[in-house]
Amino acid sequence: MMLLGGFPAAPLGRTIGVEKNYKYKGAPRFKVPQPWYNRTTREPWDEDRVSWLLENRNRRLILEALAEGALTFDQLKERLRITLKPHLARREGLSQEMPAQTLSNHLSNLVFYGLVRREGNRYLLNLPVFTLENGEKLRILSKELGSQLAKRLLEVKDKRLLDPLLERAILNAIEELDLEYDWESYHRWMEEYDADEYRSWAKAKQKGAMRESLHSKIERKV
Amino acid sequence: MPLLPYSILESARKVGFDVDAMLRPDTPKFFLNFNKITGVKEVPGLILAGKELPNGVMADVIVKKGAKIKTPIHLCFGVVEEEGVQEIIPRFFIEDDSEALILAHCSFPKAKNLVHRMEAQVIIGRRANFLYEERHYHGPYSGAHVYPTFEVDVGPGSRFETVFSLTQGTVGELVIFLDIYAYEEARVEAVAKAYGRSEKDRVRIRDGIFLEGKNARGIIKLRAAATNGGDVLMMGITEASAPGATGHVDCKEIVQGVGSRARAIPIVRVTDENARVTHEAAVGKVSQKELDTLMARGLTEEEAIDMIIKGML
Repeated sequence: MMLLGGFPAAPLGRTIGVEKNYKYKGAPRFKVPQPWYNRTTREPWDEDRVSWLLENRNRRLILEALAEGALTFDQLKERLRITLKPHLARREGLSQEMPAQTLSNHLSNLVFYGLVRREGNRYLLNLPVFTLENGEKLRILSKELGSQLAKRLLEVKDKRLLDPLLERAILNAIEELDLEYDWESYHRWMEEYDADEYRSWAKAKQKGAMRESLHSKIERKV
Repeated sequence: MPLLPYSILESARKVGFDVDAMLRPDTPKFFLNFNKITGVKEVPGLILAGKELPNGVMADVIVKKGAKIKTPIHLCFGVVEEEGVQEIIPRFFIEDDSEALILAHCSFPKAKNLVHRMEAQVIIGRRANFLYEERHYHGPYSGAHVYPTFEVDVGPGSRFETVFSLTQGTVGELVIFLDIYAYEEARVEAVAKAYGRSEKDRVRIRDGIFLEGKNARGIIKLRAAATNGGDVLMMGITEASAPGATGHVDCKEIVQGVGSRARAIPIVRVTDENARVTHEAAVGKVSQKELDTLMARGLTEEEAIDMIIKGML
């Protein structure tokens, strides 16, 4: 058995936790299983899915409010009135205000964990929050873009042009993957992993599959 | 025509409700048999509005400003069918300086593959007092799948208590999600009790109290038992984000029999330097001394275990 940093390698198909002597840099790939982690359903206490910061509805509301633009503390306080109105009865609802001190505590946590940043007296969101409306807009837009792209590709009669186009697209995709996962600085117990071999394999695999599917589509249309 | 079928009334009796008081004409009530509203009685200061939906009901319960309703308000959500889906979407408004006690009863006496979902929202104004107690009976077949969620906002100076219990009959599958937000000087108590008696019974309860206001106080009490292969997991979260806020999480569970599982997860979280939250948790088997004492008085081992667990719950 290969020993890495004094610890036995994790058996195939299993993950290992973070150990004291464990050294690696880069994005963590394997989460340490939490006691409430339900592997089959991932419900309802999945810390991967709901971080403790987002467990509190009021902090979620802060993020939602900032998703529409930068706000000052006072503007934010005004926006964070919780109002509930009756479903059926003709009566005004009830409202609750978030106290200033609590809002300040929530904001300092969100700033500390990098979800929100402060510029002068304004708070800005550091991550994109998609509302259902925006999500739907994005879905429609991508669908349109996809169909337009497919249409333009089909218009390319000279099949010799397709290969360089595909080559470029695949290389871009692999570069992006490299950047995202930082393969080189991966787990020490993955020392045997050969980045070049992986790339050539991925390239061949994707290229073959993409070319095959595109060619068959084009041939069918033409 | 009776307001509710006999089997539902019988199960209300089993879980300890006074059925005669429930049925009295002047008792404030909102009764539901599957997706049919069968009885509504308002009293001065109380508004009850309901609308039937294909699979359940949407409802508003409003206690008007300053109203102090002394008689308990009875809610009953029953289904006598073996299979089906019942969805309840209620909103509760407890206005400033008011008082109310709601006794809710969810009864599925013949459930074999029955789904009950509830999405409740509660908002309590200033200096109000509200107690909500919900007792369930799911019949003998472990065939109910019950998924209620509650979101509660407790206003400044108000008091809110909630008690959930499922200690009679089987459980089936039960997943509860409760979030309570307590503002300035509010007092909150959340109690949940469940008893998983067989390998078909699975309980997941997650109660959360978020102390958002100065000097708000909250306590979560979780009590559960798992026997004969039952599976119980209870999680209590208390988060204090305001000065002077104090909270406590208390979990106690009993596990008995091969294959039974009981887990307790108290989470305490403080994001203000002047707040304080504590917790305690204990999971273990039935005390041998108590068991011996009861068996010496003529009870079988099974009866004795049942009695000790019921005593804790």
